[in-house]
Amino acid sequence: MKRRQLILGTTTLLAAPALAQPRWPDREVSVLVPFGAGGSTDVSVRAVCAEAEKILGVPMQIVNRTGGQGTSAPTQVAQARPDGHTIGSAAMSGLAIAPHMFEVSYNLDSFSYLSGTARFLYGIAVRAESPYGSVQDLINAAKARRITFSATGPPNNLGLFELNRKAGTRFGFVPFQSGAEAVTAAIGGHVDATSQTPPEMIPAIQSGRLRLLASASPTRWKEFPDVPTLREAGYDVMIESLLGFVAPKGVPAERLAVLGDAIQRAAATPAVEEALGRFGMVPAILSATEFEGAIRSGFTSYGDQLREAGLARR
Amino acid sequence: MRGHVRAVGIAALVFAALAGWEASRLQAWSPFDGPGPGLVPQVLAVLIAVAALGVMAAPGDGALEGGDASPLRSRCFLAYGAAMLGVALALPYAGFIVTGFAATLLVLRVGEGRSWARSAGWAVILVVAVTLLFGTALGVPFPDGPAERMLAPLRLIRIG
Amino acid sequence: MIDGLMQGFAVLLTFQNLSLCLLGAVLGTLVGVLPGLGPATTIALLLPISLKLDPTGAIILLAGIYYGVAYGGTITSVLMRIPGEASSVVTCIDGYAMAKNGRAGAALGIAAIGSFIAGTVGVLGVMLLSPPLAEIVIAFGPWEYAALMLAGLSMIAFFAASGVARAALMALIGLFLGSVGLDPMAGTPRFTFGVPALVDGINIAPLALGLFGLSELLFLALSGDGKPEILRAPSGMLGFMPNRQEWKRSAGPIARGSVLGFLVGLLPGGGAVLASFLSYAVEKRLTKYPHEFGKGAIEGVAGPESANNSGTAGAFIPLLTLGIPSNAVTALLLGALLVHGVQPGPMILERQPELYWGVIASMYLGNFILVVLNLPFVGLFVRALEVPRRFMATSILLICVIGTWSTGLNHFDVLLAAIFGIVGFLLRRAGFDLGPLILAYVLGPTLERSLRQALLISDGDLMDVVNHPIALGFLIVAALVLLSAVTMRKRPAVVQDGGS
Repeated sequence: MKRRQLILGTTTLLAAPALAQPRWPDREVSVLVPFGAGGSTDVSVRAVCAEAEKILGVPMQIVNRTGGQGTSAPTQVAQARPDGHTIGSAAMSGLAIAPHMFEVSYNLDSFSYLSGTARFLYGIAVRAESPYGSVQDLINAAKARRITFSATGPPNNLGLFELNRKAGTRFGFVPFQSGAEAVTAAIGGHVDATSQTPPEMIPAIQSGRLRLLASASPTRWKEFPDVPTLREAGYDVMIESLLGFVAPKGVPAERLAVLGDAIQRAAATPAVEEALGRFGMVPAILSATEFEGAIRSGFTSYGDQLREAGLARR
Repeated sequence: MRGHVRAVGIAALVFAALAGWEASRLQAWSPFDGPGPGLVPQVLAVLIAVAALGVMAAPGDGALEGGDASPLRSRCFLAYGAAMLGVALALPYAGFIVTGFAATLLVLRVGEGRSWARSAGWAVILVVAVTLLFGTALGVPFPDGPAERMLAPLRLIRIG
Repeated sequence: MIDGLMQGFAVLLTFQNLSLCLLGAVLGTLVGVLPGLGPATTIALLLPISLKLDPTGAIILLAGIYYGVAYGGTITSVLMRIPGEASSVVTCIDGYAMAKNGRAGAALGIAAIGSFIAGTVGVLGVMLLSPPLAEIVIAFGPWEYAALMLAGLSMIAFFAASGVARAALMALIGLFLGSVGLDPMAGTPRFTFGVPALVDGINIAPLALGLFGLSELLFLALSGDGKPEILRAPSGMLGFMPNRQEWKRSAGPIARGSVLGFLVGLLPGGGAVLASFLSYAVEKRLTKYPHEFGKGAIEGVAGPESANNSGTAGAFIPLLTLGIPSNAVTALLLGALLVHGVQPGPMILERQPELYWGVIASMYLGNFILVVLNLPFVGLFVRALEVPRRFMATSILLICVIGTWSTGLNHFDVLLAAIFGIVGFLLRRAGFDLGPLILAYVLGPTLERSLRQALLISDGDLMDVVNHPIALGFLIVAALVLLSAVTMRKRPAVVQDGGS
């Protein structure tokens, strides 16, 4: 009897490691990116995943799921198997803005939120030959007459729309296909101003063809620390656009925690900050709940702004 | 020739009618800013109808491109056509490798009248070559399918 | 400038950069040959790998792929009437006809040489004329683009050999297909019928591959026996080169194509497609042999092939000097530059001259490598014509399918390609010419968008166009083109029938 118990006991002891929880993840994780390779979203996701791979110990494979104006990737993530091996990058544009503008098959509840990693920056600029020396000049002029501005679409144009709402200006939005075309139109004087992101505007600003009047983000641009934000200039307007990661609804909580933690630690590394900086983005590390909260409040406030501007779906 | 041209003209008229009807559901003039989404499609639908009538008014003569014999009589043509459509329809369900193999087999056996052995042989060679070139060497992700799922763990292809 | 170039060659002549230049050129040719797999897709696939290289090396590789593609696209266009690239669609018309006449080698040869000359002219242009040309890019606003597109569309008049109504119908259908997708201004879906794949519009890959490649497949299926009709015995290396008369006739088109293509490629939204179509139309207008167009006129190959190569070079100007990408491929290249910490723009000559000059030097070398690669292989490629139909056609089918799939990873695209294959077959059977359809499909969306942007800026004032002299200039060109097309039809003794 004793010997049998001893054998049983020893076997159980030896088997214990095998019976214990295996380390997760145990194989590669796919990350779906809504935009094409080489763009700001893609590069920032790759930078974060390169660091997160080291923490998780498994490869993270980036799949570019372009199309649908940035809604293809979230659609696929929402429909993926909730085992934690398929996640996606998501931003305000895909989650908080697109549902107001297009038919999408997902909504905010289709996802589990992992964490926020970065913030896009925006700025308002005019051509060098323009008479407006400061953002106040521009806004005062816009109160008197129609001032045209170029941008690709929300969220870039929402800052000036908010100004229309809050300051009574008459900014007229002219849509362009790409940031580069929008900025070129401003340099050429075809529109009066432009509202786009740093990588599209910095070459022109540094060579003196474009004048940056204000940063439309919560912080100033590090390349131009003398240019105030809209808030500092006295206008309560800001464009907040965050980039983060999401997983399908229903992934077990422990797995979400592992992924979210790895992503947050990855996003805090200097390598990621440098990669982000090249595309005019700054790190913005948010936990899962913070990121979810930001997206949800963005959904409501952007919804209002889009409806006011007449851009929302009828 | 005349019959064919007339057929194209009538098809274009029908197309214009359907397009115009769908376009009429879009706003022709937007309250905010100039032409709306509907203006250009509506104008185009009208112009297509006009052009279709113009085409039918002067059908022209001459031989049909590709010979006057009806293509539906050619077994080869039907085989290729069926293969083409079959691949497009079956791709979401069976992936590229299986459908490509089946299509090539169909074309060679039914269309070209080769033996089963030779048809299957070429089909295998072709599918393997294309898979290695596009999937392995160039890294193009393949559609999900039974054969793809078997090859993916071998790191030969990626599933997209 | 000369020492800049010397510096560039010094940078280039390292083992790593030389092999990257060669690799890029070879890959580019391969990508151009394989239909559907465009430069954008390939560069996107290689971008992560290029991150492991230094900036200059990475750009040399990726740029090599980009202009290598312009060479490769010719091969399948001439031999199989499958456009390897959207810009090779025009070559399918006369290039393939030349192949059917037994002059495939001449077509390929003149295309390679014309491409080399044009590519070199293009690089010279980039080197010498960047600053003033960059100003042109900035001067183009919505009115100018709208007028340019109208001028481009007016070129369709030169495709109207088979009848104005036919060309017009094809063009209008092309315009309509271009409007499928999201409205460019309001973002409302048009004609998408709830299909998510249509939200971005009908992609060029299924359209071009279906209408040209798959429809050709169906024609091959009809051609009776197992061997293609184009079988001609090769007669030595020289049999593959253009004869003296063909050289003489090509000189003008190559020169004109080089300049025209360069200028058009420079403009964002212009690009190689517009360049090749414009060149075709110009050559058709200027030739002494207009009746040959559509049946194998060498000008119809020499001009467009040169134009699309110099257009590729032209696209580098806004990229390197202003940091503005002209098309999807240069946008990727811009992303690649940014990832490597290079800020393209006016400061690039001060901050990173070795990169700028290294890329320019690699473009000279790359063009040279490409012509050396392509010419001797012309004989080999032409032998592909002797392959029995069953091997050729089934390869075409599978390659078109995977090529279409690779552009968007979308099942709907493949279905569309098959449908367009059938539609293309029926239309060509009835003698309709598909060229105007593709041209209109490419130009239409830009025309609508630019016109609406212009009206938005001017607050609905159509007469605002008179304030834009460049735009007025293009409108006058459009009017002249239409006028000259009308007078051309009245020229005596030029018999035109059948499709062109």
